[in-house]
Amino acid sequence: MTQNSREKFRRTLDRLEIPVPSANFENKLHQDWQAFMAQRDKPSHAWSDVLALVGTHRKLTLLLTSIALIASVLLAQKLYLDQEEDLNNVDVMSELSLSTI
Amino acid sequence: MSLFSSKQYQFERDLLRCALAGDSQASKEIIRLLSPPAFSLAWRMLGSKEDAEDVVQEAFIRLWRSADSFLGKSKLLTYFYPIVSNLCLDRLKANSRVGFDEFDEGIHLVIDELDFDQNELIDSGAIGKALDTLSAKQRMAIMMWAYQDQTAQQIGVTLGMNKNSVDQLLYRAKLKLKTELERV
Repeated sequence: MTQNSREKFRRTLDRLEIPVPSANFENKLHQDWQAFMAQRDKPSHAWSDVLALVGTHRKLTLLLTSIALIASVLLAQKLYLDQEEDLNNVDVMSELSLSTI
Repeated sequence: MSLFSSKQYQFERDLLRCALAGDSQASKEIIRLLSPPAFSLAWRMLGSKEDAEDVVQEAFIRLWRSADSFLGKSKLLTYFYPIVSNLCLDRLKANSRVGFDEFDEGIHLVIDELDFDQNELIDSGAIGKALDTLSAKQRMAIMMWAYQDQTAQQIGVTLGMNKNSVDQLLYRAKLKLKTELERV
């Protein structure tokens, strides 16, 4: 089976009219590409999800981190002051008790 | 490989890389480049528009997945055709009412050169009808031979047959087509 006979045969087959694919066929193929890209870029586990979100929303992440940090400092300060006040109260109570005795 | 071919192959490889890097235009360009010939091949193999579209869709998904293995040493279409034909083969095996693997090898024919020159006036409908008389395996083999320039040995690897059986299969297919077309 020579190359020549292959070409002759192909010429015969080329006369076969090929139907036109559906109107939106190429769009479908492009949507498949988009889905493939979205799937490929999707993180494989929850922690990667978080990292990906951090990467895409940098300003929001910075804001949330600052709020969390300030809240922690204020809470720590309040706890420290409350503790000091409690100690003072204990001292006062102790003095009162002693004077009663 | 000529300088032009080499540049063309590299251009196609770069286009594929751009598509995989998220370039929407590059992906559209690849789809425009590959989908018409892939659809034609799938339709010629399967004879059904819906099946051909399904197969080409699946073939593109496989192309995106396996794109890293395309090194730009051949045309992208040459890389893509086997993906399409393998999927057609799977589809034919799944759809085949009679066993796809059945092959009438009872009598070995003496393989002779078949001339298709006299069929210049035959129209598309007659060729379509003639193709419909082929078995799924014959149709598959003849398309791989004609459009992918595959040798009998290469076709045999895909179809799970030895070279001599493929030669017989191709010869019978061509003989059948020639006979059918001469009846017109």
